[in-house]
Amino acid sequence: MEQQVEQAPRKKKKQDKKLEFEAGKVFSPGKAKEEDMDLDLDSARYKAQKGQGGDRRT
Amino acid sequence: MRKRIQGTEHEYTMYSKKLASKGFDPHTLALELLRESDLQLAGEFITNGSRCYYDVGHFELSTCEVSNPFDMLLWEKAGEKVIDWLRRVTEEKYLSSGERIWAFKNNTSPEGVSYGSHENYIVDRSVDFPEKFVKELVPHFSTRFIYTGAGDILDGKYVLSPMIYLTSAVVSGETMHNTGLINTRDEPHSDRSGWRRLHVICGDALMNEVAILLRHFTTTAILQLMEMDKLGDAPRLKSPVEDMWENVEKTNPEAWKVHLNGGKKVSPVDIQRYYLAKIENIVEDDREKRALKILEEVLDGIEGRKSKELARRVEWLDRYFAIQEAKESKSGPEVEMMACKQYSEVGAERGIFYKRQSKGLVERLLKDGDIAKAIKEPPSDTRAALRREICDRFNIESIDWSTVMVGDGDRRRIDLPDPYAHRWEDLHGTAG
Repeated sequence: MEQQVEQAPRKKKKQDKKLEFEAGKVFSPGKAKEEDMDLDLDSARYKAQKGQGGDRRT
Repeated sequence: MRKRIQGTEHEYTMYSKKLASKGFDPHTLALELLRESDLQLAGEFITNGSRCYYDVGHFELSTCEVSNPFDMLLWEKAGEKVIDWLRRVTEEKYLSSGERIWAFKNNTSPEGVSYGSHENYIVDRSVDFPEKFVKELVPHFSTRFIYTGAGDILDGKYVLSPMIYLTSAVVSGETMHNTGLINTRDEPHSDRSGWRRLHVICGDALMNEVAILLRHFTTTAILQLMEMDKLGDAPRLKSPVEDMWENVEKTNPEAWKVHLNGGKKVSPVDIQRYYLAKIENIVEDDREKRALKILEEVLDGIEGRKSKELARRVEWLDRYFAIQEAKESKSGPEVEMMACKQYSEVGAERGIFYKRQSKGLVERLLKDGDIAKAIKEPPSDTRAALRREICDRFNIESIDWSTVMVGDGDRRRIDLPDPYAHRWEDLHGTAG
């Protein structure tokens, strides 16, 4: 197989990104007021039997 | 221990009643924001070498290739934080104050379906598959859940490991139904003649750092021992699937049983102690010795039933305690299920796991500063670093784990068949 990269690489033009990752949002999130999840727990009851993967995604 | 390329895939679930009522899927909104952010690298890849995409109702994050269990823990946690950040910015952009998007790292969803959390390990293709894996790895996979189980409520009862509960065979090629302890999928994403990618689908999505480390430390070590032909005397299990189905429903270790060929019954702890003794022969540096010591302490703790101490490191036990505490402090029919789900919420200020971690109830191995760095950068010693370098140097037309198409006037394909190759010079080293 011919090796693919032979030329000196060219610098890629940087693109401006609109949204910047902010570590503070996830590492120092502050306190949240106590609240329960607003989930549909009736449908959360897993119905598959032992050994049945159910609608498992890959 | 030798370097071993590995990675994990998690299907994170985002849930927002408000967005659902308007016909919007938070997963796709979050992915759109990711693509517009400074974490975006090229295609489905982000700057730390991980891959993010939409997968039938989930946000899937496949970590970059790492070379050891310690890096695995670090980059898996980095992925979790990327999800948390996306959840927050999606919430800020699309919802009013007080409206929420929840994100979960678990295996059963609010819609009542199960989904995957997979491990991948590169192994030497010359190791007999699946025969040797059945003999030498299945005893590990069918018993490791005593310290790698996440815990969950399924079919109205508490189980130590949802994925073990749902596994139905020793060997299977299926990933949605009739799944096996050994999965036969063969997509190496590398030079097929040299390597196999062992795709492990019987493990749980974990929050606990110690549990994640032990899952990868033990499995990585056992794969090395298999390649070294050091596990020929592994315990022969008579009925691994039936035994794990029995054991996974019992929180009392004294009730666990594993049937061996020949009629003898032992504990899953005994099986794990077999591996512990073997692993002791291949650990080298201080952090490997420390991980081995933690494993030994965990097995001692299980046998000694030191449950409070053990819950700092064993997720199914800590989740069990969290559910009990919720029952004591709140009333209502949904308290147990609510606490069970909320334990896996990735939001550091809302998830029960993170609340317990901030109270010091859960042992930590990582520093936030290291995770923050791993959110943006790939490990320096795997193909992820080389892929990143190619993306930094060229305009990318398309990208996959082992192939990059660059387009700078001339369209060229760069193959990356060696997942250990990490330097620019390695490209020329692999030229045929």
